[in-house]
Amino acid sequence: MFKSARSILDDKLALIGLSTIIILLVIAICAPSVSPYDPMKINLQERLSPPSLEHPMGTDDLGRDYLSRIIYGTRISMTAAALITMISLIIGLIVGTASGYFGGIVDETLMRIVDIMLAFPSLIITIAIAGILGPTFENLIIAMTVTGWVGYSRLIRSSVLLVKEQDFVVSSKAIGCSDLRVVFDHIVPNAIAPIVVLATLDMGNVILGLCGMSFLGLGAQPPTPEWGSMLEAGKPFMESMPTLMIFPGLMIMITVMAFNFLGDGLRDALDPRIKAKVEI
Amino acid sequence: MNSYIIKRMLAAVPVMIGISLLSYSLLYISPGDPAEILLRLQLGTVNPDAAAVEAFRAEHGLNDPIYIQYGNWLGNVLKGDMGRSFRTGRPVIEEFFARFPLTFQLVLIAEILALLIAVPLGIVSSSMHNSVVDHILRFFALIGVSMPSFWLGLLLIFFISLHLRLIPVLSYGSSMSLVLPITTLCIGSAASIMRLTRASMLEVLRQNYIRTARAKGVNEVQVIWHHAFRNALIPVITIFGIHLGHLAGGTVIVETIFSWPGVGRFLVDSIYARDFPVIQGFVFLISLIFLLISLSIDIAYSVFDPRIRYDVPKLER
Repeated sequence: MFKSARSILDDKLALIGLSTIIILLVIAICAPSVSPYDPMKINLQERLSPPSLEHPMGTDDLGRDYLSRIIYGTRISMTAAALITMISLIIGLIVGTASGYFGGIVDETLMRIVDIMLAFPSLIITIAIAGILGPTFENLIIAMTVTGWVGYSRLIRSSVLLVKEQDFVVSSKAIGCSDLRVVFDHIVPNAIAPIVVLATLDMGNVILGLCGMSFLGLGAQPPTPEWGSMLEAGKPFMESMPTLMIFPGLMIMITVMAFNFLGDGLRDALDPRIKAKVEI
Repeated sequence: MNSYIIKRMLAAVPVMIGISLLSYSLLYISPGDPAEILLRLQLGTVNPDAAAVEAFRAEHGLNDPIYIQYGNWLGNVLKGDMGRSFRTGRPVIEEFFARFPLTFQLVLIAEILALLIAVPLGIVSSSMHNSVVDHILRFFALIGVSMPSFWLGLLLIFFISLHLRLIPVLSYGSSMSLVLPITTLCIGSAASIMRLTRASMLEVLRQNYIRTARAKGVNEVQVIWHHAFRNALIPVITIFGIHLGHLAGGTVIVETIFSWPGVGRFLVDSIYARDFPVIQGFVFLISLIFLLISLSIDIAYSVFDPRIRYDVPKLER
């Protein structure tokens, strides 16, 4: 682990990714104190003003300070992505552990369901569910969770299968531990660690999905300062005030890129085979 | 060989049933009574009276248990009847196949271009691992996968249509209208195919048989093209297939930005309008195409790569 930490620090791209994520998290947590204005405060006197010292990113069509809205957008995207990832992981953990630990008919049934879910193009299902439930941000989170847990349950299942055969699990069963105790004390902690790391890194893609859906109008609705819906709202002013569409898009890209940078670095660091090749 | 294909096809049957079940049940996750929603849509009245709702239920078999309703729907689907769109009044199947070629055209051109650009770049990147070229290519590929397609599309409209005035914004119908949507789709795909090719090549290049070839004195170009490339291509084809499989739906965002009258856009419009026959039918057909493409890719593999046929049980566990 120490070695991986070292090689992450050596990898400049990964380091950039990590620092960006930390900065974004700080911005998200401190949104009320770092944003210069109230993101919802309408000021029709200052509609569509270009970037200036007072409003570093200008104002939108209702005179709201764009920088403040972008900052609150960080908070919304990060929270929603974390929520989706967490709920997906919990469902994936329950299904994957049950499937891997009990095997047999439980495994067969659960994995057939997973197969069916994987056979759907996930974007279409997300759109359909979010749209039919009604376009709100909460429903979008539900829709993305419905498709999100599937992949994790597969990963966790195979991880559980590996851990299950190890001596400490076999011996704890031999001394008469209950199934519940074996699962929660021995299997889950050992099977889930690498997957939690991967899931965190996948948050970039979750944010991409969230903003895409909101852009389509199937997620956060105006006036919520969410990047995707801000981009959509800025679209009509593309010619007169292109900054309205440039800043939210830039923020989405920076965020997703930061997660990808770190993810790439981490995968390289955790995969000793690729490192071996470098040394040759 | 044949038994593998048959096994694979049989395994697809329960998945198909699952797909149809989920597509059908989309009507029931909608908040509210389906009969009331459908009636309101058909009549355009705000609150249909109770007697009309009851009559509608009886007429459309909505009082039957859900599994019977589903059975009826499936029976009709198998006969090629998915009902009619509330909005246009035309059969859902007709609506789908009128739009599918438009979406298919976009995706096919974009994906083939992406493959032609990305695979050579991925190979260059991997054969110069950790060089400046590799870092630059890797950086651009990362930008490509992190770029939201909706933003890229808007930027292209902004710079190419509004700023340079090369292509009119709404030019559907002319062949120029293909350029921007295809570029948007292509950049994202090319970036992910390049990353995968690179990773897959790096994996293959450290195998023993590559070392043997090098030790024999085979020159590097031969090693890369002849020995490594072919084996590295397998995961690349998988991703290509998955991208193609998303063809029916993955273009929703691009179709919306460029007002492209394809399948995805019609689906989103139908969702807004709560046009349930279209939603159910389109989701079912899109998923079915997705399934058939992944099935044919699996089968194609087993023809090209004998290891896959023999390893099936191991791969499953």
